[in-house]
Amino acid sequence: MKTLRNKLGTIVGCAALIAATGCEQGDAPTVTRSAPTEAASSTDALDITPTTSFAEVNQLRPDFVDEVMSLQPVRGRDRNFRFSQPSFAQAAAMPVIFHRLVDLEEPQINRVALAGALRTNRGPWQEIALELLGTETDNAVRVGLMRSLASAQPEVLARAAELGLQDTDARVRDWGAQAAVRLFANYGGEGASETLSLRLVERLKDEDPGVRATSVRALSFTEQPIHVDAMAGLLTDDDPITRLAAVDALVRLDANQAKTLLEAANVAGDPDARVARAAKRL
Amino acid sequence: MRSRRWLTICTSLSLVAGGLSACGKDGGGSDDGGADAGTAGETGGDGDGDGDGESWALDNIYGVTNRDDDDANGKPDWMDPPFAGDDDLTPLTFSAAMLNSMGSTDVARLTLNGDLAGIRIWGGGDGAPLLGANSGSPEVSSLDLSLDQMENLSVEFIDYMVSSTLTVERVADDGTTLESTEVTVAGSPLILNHHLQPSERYWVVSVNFGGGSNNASMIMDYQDLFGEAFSSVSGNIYGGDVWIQDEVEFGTQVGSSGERQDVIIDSIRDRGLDNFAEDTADTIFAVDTWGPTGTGNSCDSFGNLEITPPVTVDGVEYPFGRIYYGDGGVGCRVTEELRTFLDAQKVQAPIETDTSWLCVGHVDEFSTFIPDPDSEKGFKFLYADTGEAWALLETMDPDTELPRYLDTHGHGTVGEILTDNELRTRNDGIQANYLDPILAQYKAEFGLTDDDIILIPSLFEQCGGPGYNVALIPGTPNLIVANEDGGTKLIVPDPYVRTDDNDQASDPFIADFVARMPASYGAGDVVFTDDWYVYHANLGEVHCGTNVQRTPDMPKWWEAAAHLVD
Repeated sequence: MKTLRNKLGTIVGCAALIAATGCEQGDAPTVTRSAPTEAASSTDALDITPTTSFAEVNQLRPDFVDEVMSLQPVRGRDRNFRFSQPSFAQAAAMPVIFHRLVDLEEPQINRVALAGALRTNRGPWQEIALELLGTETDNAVRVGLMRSLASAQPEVLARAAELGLQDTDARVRDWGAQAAVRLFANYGGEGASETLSLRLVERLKDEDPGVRATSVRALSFTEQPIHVDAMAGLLTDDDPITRLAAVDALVRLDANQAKTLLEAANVAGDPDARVARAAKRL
Repeated sequence: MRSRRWLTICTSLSLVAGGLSACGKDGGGSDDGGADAGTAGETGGDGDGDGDGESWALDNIYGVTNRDDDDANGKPDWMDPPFAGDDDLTPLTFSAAMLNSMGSTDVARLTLNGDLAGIRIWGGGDGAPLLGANSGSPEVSSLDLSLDQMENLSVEFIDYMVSSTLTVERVADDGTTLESTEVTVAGSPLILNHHLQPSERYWVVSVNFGGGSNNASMIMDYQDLFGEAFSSVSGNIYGGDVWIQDEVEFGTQVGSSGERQDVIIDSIRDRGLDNFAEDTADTIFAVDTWGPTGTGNSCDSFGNLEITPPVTVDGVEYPFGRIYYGDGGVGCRVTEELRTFLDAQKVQAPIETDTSWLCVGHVDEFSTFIPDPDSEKGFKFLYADTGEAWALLETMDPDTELPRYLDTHGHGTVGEILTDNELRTRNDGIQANYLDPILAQYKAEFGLTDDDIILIPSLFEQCGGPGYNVALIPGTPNLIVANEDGGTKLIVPDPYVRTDDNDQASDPFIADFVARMPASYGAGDVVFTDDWYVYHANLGEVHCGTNVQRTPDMPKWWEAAAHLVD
């Protein structure tokens, strides 16, 4: 973590910055229409690189840094907290996000939300987030990081999927499998090692049904029929969502072969209406 | 309770469920003992048409629950003795003919059978109730009244849909029953509001989350449209909890003497807005909660509790519509107490549908009803459809930049959405596995035909685990219906499928939405408001962030929905 902290710049003065802003969430202003603030908009012109430090951004745009340092996550309709403010999408926010993310005095809820906020940040955050994923000890923060990395570009996506699939936390493995879905579905598996498919096959037996479901979906985009038998094993999974994912995945891979497999497993007679319907659509 | 008409039973009712009123007919003061006691469900009278006995008749009594706080003493009024300002008791008034029929030594014998703990009858004086709840231990179920005690009686209901029979006999001093009548005495059901009813008040929570995220624009739109009928609720007071649709649901009870009791169902979600119901109730509303407070899951929010307009299904009329809510799967279901209660109200016969594919799990995320006065049924049903969205996106220049989507979803252009194969296959699965089957269920349960349905272009993206999704394009069916004197307005989330935030005219999704609306919607009737950063980016939309109180049409449910209650 020491190396990373050096990259991101010192965290000394963080608390002082928060105190200085004095900004709390409260009533909406009554005169302006919602739009990114001037401070946020003008920072797009900054040339943010992976090595741009918090101190550099703070020197160039102290007002913007004050703003991003002061923001608190918003509780969504699903009860989870997010940094959904548009300022977080600005590239210049990237060093500030990492600055807060590695500050262990930041509340855990904030750190989780900060990790998730990287997903839509326009800065070059991906390599740093991947490095953090390998060192972060808080499970929930790793979930946030992996969720962001699941939307990364292919050069990072493959490595993120590999790392995520081996995580001890099922939610991270699930997002790791989702990274593999995107890699194979959107980028033809660009940059994927031979072991990635094998890891996905291993995850078909994961203890977590969500991981099994996402892994079978990922395999359906690999265009590797060699894994069909392993995938078909999930047609009789205990979890109905996993069975449904298996039906969809097999059909996507090879509809004709899927029909035979589904008939053999009598999926049309599945006790879950959603699974049975999916089988009957063939 | 709202303004109340203190009418006598005889003048306020005519034909009622369970009995035909003979009020107004002067049967004279027969005390010859020739009238037989009525049987259950019948009114009195001997049926020979000569008038004797027909004077001894009452109509069924349906009343509202006395659970509001008219004296503002912090207790529901049913916990207090009757007081001058308590306007939720139903008068038990005997007709002049009945009173005239009483001989000097006769008594009126009142016998209450059924739910004695949920109903009580008060006399004109102070003290304990005459019959029913709190009248004694056990509850008094029968009582003789002299002529001078037959005035200023009233019935109080403690709970919804409680039911008893009240037998009123004229008894001679030798114990002979001279005349008898039996009526139903029941608490009215709670009827929830639907989108065809007039709007009275609107609420939105005002917040500024900083960093360019506030709802000032949406607040301004509501103020411009609805003026004093709109209330901006301070987010500071309620912890920045903007999901006001989820916290409370409005309903109404209507009594047979014209009583109206507005009720706020206070959700057990218990987030920042937990006290909103109590703060808003004043002395007008009763506030009720079903389920253990603080145990709510997402499906206990009232964006997941919606009501159709009046529908007819396989010949069965639902004059107050039907309730529908989602089953969000493991750990996400409307609390059993509320489901049981809503089932017990009967008149809006609830159905449950599958919302397990959504992160939030609410039915308002993908469907709604809007008025359409030109159609036979008076409404249209808006329903999300992913195929329509892909088709519309295909018509756009793929290089069209989408700054809002880049900020929140990571898609910078239309082309990036179109070429996102993961997104496309996800939405294909949602359509086939969920949207299509749910629409089939709705058509069957609500009696909908294809002509009643308007498909709305919609796309969803993953937001949680593998099977959980949320609107990518703001869920435009997640809208507010405002029925004002001048007509209906729809407040719709701005989809921002365009480059220039300020140029709604350039947005093909806006043009498409307006074009799909019924012809009765003119220019300016569909208002697209900015809910992006405060609501959409936090998994909700305009409907989730607004609540509306509506005017009931004071339905005589005991007539219109008798077939559903029996």
